[in-house]
Amino acid sequence: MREATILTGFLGSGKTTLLNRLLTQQGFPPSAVLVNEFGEVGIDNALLRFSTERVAVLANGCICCAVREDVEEAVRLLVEQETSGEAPPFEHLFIETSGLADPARLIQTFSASPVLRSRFKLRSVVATVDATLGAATLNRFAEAARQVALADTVILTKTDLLDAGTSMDPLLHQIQAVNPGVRTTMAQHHVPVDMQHFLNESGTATRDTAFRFLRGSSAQGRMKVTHLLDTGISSFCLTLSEAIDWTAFGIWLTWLLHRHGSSVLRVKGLLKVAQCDGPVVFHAVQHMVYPPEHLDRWPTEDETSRLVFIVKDLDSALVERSLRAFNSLTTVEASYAREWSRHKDIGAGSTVRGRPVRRPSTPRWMR
Amino acid sequence: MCGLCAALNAGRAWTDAAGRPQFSRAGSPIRASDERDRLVRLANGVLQHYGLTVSDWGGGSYMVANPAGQNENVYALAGIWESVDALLNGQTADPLDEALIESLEGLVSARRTDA
Repeated sequence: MREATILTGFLGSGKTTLLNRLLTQQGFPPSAVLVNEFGEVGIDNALLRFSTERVAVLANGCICCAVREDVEEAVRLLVEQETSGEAPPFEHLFIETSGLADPARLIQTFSASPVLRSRFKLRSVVATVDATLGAATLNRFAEAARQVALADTVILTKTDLLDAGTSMDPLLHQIQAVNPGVRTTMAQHHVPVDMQHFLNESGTATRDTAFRFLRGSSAQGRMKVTHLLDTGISSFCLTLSEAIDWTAFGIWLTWLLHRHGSSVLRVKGLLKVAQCDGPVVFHAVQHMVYPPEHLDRWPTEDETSRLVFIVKDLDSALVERSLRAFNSLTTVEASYAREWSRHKDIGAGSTVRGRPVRRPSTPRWMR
Repeated sequence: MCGLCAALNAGRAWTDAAGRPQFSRAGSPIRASDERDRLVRLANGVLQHYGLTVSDWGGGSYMVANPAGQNENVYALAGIWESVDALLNGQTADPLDEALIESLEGLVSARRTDA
């Protein structure tokens, strides 16, 4: 199966320039590029298609059925042309989003669209951030913050435009606040771009992220919530010393993503699962949950679960309380087994949430 | 989840522990039927707050029902929540609902006190 990379970034953050450099770099696999808008900078040396954002929701469908129909159609055309010999063969697919696009829907399309799912594996999501304007942009524009929150790797661009001696630490700190543990790197003139950022598997990036994050954080520390000004986006890390029950966690998270999927930008971390010997790397981007990855050992001596949430307008304390309540249900599960294992007999005379339940009476004509 | 999605995704879900060698319970591999039983138990523990029930439907799907007798058949765990919304007739079920969290905490503390 061929691989795909989503390249996102705010308006003018240097996505196309970076892509151009990458595509002309020696050793990079022949690629097709799907561009979400007509950029000011043209892309050479690649099979190129443009698309305009068009989202289709299947009739009677839910949010997980929402696919970027334009992307699906453009990819189908690319493959058709390649098959008929009208276009050269390609090994890798790049999708460059528009500066204001939400990459979440695109990520979702990779899991929901049968056309994409059967032909391409989404390798990673890369976001560009302008080193000169990035700090202000991340604080002011929710779109920019979402792009960083959903990325596996963030590449700082235009670093050569910074005044000599200007520290990038505040910006790096801000990026880590939006997406704790995300891999960050710099694109520098005359230095080849590290291709691994584009070709590395998302899961690998997540594992590395989890390791980096764990090394740099204290398990004993209280939950720290970081808010970005004006965007409503915040990130926090839940720490649980007790083992997480996988079934209870599945119930809780599928429900949370169903109800608040558009507000949960990303969930990632290492879990101590009651049913597993080693830690489990967990990674979800909105409705898309990657298969859990099992590790043989913990990266540090501290074996506590840590889950990073990047959310928009969600109460972190409530999320933590809810997860703990669902997980602790398993401690009393055995004593409720009889009541919960079968249908409750709800009939006339009983009440549900304080309201009496009436059994329907037999129609007169039937008596 | 709509019927089409559920049917297409009915194969394997990230929540499934059965069939994955890394998961075990009391030293034994997790069987699909045991996992479904636990899922039904825990889902009922949560959904009783809303007066709904979940049952295993022949080992292949789940049946979600409300007190009025309406029910919906879904293929996967993720589909249960769509049915919950439909069967609550306009009410909203939410894992972050404070009343729900309080009731779960109450269930746990009640049994711990008994013990």
